[in-house]
Order: sequence, then C-alpha cells, then structure tokens
Amino acid sequence: MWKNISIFFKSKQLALFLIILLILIAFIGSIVPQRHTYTPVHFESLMEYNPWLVASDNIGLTNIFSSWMFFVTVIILLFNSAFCTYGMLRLAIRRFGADPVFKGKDPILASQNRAQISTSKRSEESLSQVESTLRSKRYRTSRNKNRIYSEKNRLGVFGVAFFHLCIILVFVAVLYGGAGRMEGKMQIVEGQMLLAQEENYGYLHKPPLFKIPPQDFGIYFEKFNPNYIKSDGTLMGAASKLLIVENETVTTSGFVYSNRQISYNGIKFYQADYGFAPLLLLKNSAGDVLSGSYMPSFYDGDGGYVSQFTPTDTKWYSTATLYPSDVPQSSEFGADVPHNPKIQLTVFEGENELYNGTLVLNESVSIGNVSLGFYDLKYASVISLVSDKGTPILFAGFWLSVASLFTMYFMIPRRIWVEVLRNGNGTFVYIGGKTDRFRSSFEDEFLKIVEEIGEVVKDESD
Amino acid sequence: MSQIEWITYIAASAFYAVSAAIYVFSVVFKKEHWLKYGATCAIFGLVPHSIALLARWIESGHGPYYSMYEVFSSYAWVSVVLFLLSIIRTNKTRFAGLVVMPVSFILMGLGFNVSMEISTVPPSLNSFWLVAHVGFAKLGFGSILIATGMSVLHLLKEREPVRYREFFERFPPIRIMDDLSYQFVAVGFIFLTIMVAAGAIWADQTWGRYWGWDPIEIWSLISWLVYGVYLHLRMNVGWGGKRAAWLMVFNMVILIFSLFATGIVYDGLHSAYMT
Repeated sequence: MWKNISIFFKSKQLALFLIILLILIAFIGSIVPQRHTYTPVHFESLMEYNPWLVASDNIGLTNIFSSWMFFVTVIILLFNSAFCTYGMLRLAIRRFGADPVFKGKDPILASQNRAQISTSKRSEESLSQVESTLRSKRYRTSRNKNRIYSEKNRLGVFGVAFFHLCIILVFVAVLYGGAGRMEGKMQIVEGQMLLAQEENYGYLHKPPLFKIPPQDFGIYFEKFNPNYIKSDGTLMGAASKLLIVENETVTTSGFVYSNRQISYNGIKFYQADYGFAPLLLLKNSAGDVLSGSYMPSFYDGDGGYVSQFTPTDTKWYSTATLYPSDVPQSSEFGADVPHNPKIQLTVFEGENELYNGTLVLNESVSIGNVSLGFYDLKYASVISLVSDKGTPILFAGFWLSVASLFTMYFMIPRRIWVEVLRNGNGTFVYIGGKTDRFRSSFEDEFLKIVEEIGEVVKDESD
Repeated sequence: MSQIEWITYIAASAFYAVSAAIYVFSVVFKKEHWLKYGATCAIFGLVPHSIALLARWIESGHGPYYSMYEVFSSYAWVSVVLFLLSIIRTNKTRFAGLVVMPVSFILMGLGFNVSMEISTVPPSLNSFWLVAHVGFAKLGFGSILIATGMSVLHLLKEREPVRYREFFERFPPIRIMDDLSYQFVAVGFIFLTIMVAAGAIWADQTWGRYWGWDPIEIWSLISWLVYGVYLHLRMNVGWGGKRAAWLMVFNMVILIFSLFATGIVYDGLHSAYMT
C-alpha cells in the first residue's frame, strides 16, 4: 500500500501533469473575471449582461483561486514535491558520501566524452603530470595505482533537491501564512484614537485557522502630510503619522505612505487610502448639537470625496460630496490641500428630497426646525493592519530558491577518469569525462584539459 | 524628449535594422562571414542606444521602466547587450542574432508608435524592489530571447534544405545549439525567479500582500511555470532536440504576451505604464 502511494506521489509525470493543470487554472483565472478583483455591486452588474459569466460563476470559475480544484492541485503538488525531494535528497546524500575513487566496471567507456593520448613517458611520470593538470583546473583528484579519479563541484549534487526543498518551503509559507493571516481596515480621522478592536474595523478578515491574539493597543492618527518629503528630498506624496499606543505608552510611531509601513507586535500598518472628514452637525433651533461627527469621505474618481450618513434620531439619508479646494493642486501625487472647501449635500427622508445644495465651511442650512451645517474639515486615512507570519518564511523561500538555482546551474558536478596503461606500443593515457548538465560547456573544458594533458605528457623528443 | 535622445534613438534603430538585415541576408545568401558585420552593427547601434537611454534617465529622473516607450527601448537594449556578451563568451551564439536583432529592432520600432512623453513616476513605484523587479524581467527576457534564437536555428538546421546544407553545416552542431538553449533558459529562469520574488516583496511593502492574483501576476506565474515545465522536461523526462525547441518557441509567445501585452489587455496593476 505504502509502496503504491510512494510510487504515485514520486512520479515525475504526476509533477508535470499538476504543473500543467496549475497553468490551466491560472489561465482560466486570467480570462474569467474573478470576484475578488471587483466590488460585489460591480460584479453583479457584469453578470447582468454576460450569460457566460453567470455560467462560469455557477461552476465556481469566478473564484478559481479559492476553489477546491485549485487547493487540491496545490496540495497534491506539495505531496508530490515532498516525495520527489525525499528521493532526490537520498540520491544526493549517497552521491555526496561516495568515496571519491576510480571504481566501477569501466567508467571511461561509459563517459560522455572520451580521449586517448599516447606517450613514451613512464606511467608514473604521466600520472603525476595528469594529476597536476587536473588540479590546476580545480579538480580534486584521487589516485589509485594507474588510475585517477577527479571531480569538481561535488556540493552541486544537492542543487536539485535544494531547489525542491525551497519550493516546499514556499508552499508551506503560503499555507501557514494564509491560515493565520489577519487583515483589517480602519477609517480614522486626524487627531482620532481608535482601539484595535473588532467593532472599529470597517473590514476584517480573520485568520481561518488561528485566533487573533488579544490586541490591547490603540492607533492614534497624529497628523496628515499631503506632500511628505523624505530626508533625502524624495517626494513620497500623502503620508499619515501614526502612534501605536499601549498602556498609555507610545510603543512605536512614524509616517506611513507608499512603500512604507510601520510594524508593531507582528502587525504591519499601511496607509491603504486617504481622504477628508468634514464635520457635519445637526443642531436644534437653540443651537444645541443634536448629532453629528467627522464623516470620512473618499475619492469618487471625479474630483469629489464622498460620504453617506444618517443623522441619529432622524429618518434622513444623506450624501455629501466634498470638494476640498477651488485652486489647482501643485503636486501630482500629493493629497489635495483644502482651500475654500465646499460640500454638495443631498438629504432625503424616504422618497422626499429635503435638501439639495452646496455648503461652504461654517455654513448651515435649515431643514424643518433643525439645521445641518459644515463646521470643520480634517484629513482621514484608511489604515490597513496586516499580520501574516508566513511572509518572512515565503521571502526566505524565494531567496533560497534563487540560491538553489545557482547551485543547480552554476555548480554542476563534473567528473573525469584517467587510466594510464602500458602495452607493447607504448604508454597510453585514457581519459573519460561526465557532467550532470550542460554537456556542451563541459565538452569545451574537457577538450582543453585533454589538450593540456597532451602537452604535458608529450614526448620530450618531439 | 530631448533632441539628443531622439537622434540617438533613431540612429540606434537604424543600426539595429541594418544588423537584423545582415543576419537575415547572411542566411538567405549563405554568407557566414557577414555575421561579424551584423554583430559590429549591433555594437554601433548599442552606443547611441545607451546614450538615448542615459539621456532619458537624466531628463526623467527615473530608470527606463515607466512608459511603454521606455519599456520597449530598455528591453531591446538589454537583449542586445546580453547577446553581445554571449558572443564574447562563446562564439557559437553569434547565429542567435538571426532572432535577437530583428526582435530588438521590432521593439525599437514599437517605441516609435507609443507616446514618448516623460511621465512622472508615482511614489508607490519609488522602491529598490521595483527596480530589481523590472531589471530582472529585462534580463530574463534577454536571456530567453537568445535561447529562443538558438532553438529557432536548431529547427532551421533540422529542416536543412539541400540547397542550404553547406551553409547550415557552419552552424554549431544541433546538440550544441540545443544545449546552449538549455543553458540560456536556465539563466533566464533564475532571472525570472528573482523578478517574481522582487515583485512580491514590492507588492507586500505597498499593499500589504505579496500576491493578489492580478492578471499580470497570474501571467508572470504562467511564464515562470512554462519555463519550469521546460526545465523539468529536460532534466527529468529526457526531453531535448526538436520537441524542446518547439516548446521554446511556444513559451516565448507566452513570455512576450506576459511582458508586453497584459498591461494593454487587462485593467490591472501594470496598466499605468502601458500607454
């Protein structure tokens, strides 16, 4: 039973089949729109006009990288890699541990490259000269009577197994990281402090297999810099300064912007998006605040920053589109800097439109016996919190894979056998060589070595 | 675009065109000794091409990787440099110019057909890992282009029409071309691996995830896997010769699509520079 399982998983054809299957799955994933790349609303609208997409969705092709077909392929490939690697490692260890001596029936005859040189020199002298020639080419030699065994790059026998081990490491890192990955997003306004608790996340992906450890820290959004410039003068665009506070102590702080995050307790903090937060207040006729807050608003792709809200104790539904500035902005990649900001406001109660107009800063509008006003403007950011313990292992796996590929292709084991025989016609030097890979470049080296051996063992009378 | 860049880009394209023509005519007219003139023209083209890229770099303040024009130009430059370096290392690859030089010339020509305006690089692209990512993509393409060149020559020699026999005999033996193709793919595969790794690190730094199944990521994985299949077939299944050469041609189509077309076909992370 075990033998059959082992034979099945060790199969190189299985590896090939699975890799090709993976390519096909990836190809399907590239031509069938995938749900994760669209918002649910956008995806539903795509499906309205595309019966093929509906059919694809029904058979799970629109979530292909989360499908059982994909996971089963990857898991079998992981097992296949593990079984193959085990076999490769055993073979490599056996080869690495083998005595570096001339043995076997006739390795020269079985070699890929062969040569024969005649000389009138004595066998002993010829052998010494051949050995020193091989050593000068960085071959390690061992001599046994009239035979020499030489080799170089013995460590290279581990190259293929090492590469496959690294691939397994990458697989394991992805599975481990995926099983424990936490990703959350928080909308936070300049000057606000939010505790890292579930209710404060706008979006939270909990790890499927592991629990999130209790998070007792808070995130304080100290300030926003619309045009952050690094100390070396490079403009990095919009940046948010965050302070991570735990037990009333600032544990870490710094600006987060494109390509820069801060980390604390295994969690990385990124600036996923930024926008504005206008302060909209609902007041009664006496001027008392009934409700209202800073409303995080994000870019609508058309010059405005949109937020939707329902003032408490009302049946209103409101949409506010903020236009932060009436002057052209100087920086192409920085955030807008407020200048005479205004808000396009629509307020509905059920189907009835109560208000549709524009407010500038510190302006309010009366709706019935209350007033709704725009009283302040701050920056807002979306901070992404990510914890993926598999990432460092994955990157280690990547770089080790690169190192293993170098071992595979630049440290290729090469072996040369030499036998010096004397018969009635004189002394003959028989040479055979073999390489694990890239025969043509070995052939060049072999020919040079043969040429040099020919030179050193040639008759002095010549 | 500065005048010096414009003039040197035209000069480089012209030299590459002549070089490509010499390589093609050397096969058509069976003139092996013309090949050295092809390589000489490639060197003559490389000088103004390097000046054009340098001028662009100085003027734009960033490496040649952001606009489609810069992408085409830099891919052509790396391909020609790698090809010339390969000739220095082993003269047997000089025949690969039959593929490398026309492809490089086509890339230069495509550069004329897209916007040559300088675009400002957004801060998210201001990263060492991005430079490594695009740099190794170019190196990977260059190496694999030479490998494909050797495979195409291999296939031509396999067919060997009688009237060309004398000429094809001057090509390296089939097994050597086959082996050289294998070697260049191996090197290219290392570069592609570094490209994928550097891209994943950059994505992790920028978006907090190393892989997002974006179309370009999918196609870079497909490209990596198809060359992985090629190497697996050679090492473990004993493939070589004509079958392996045809697979190389097929894989090259996938690589070209992955590097140059995905940003146009799909709306994704790499669409920004495909203008």
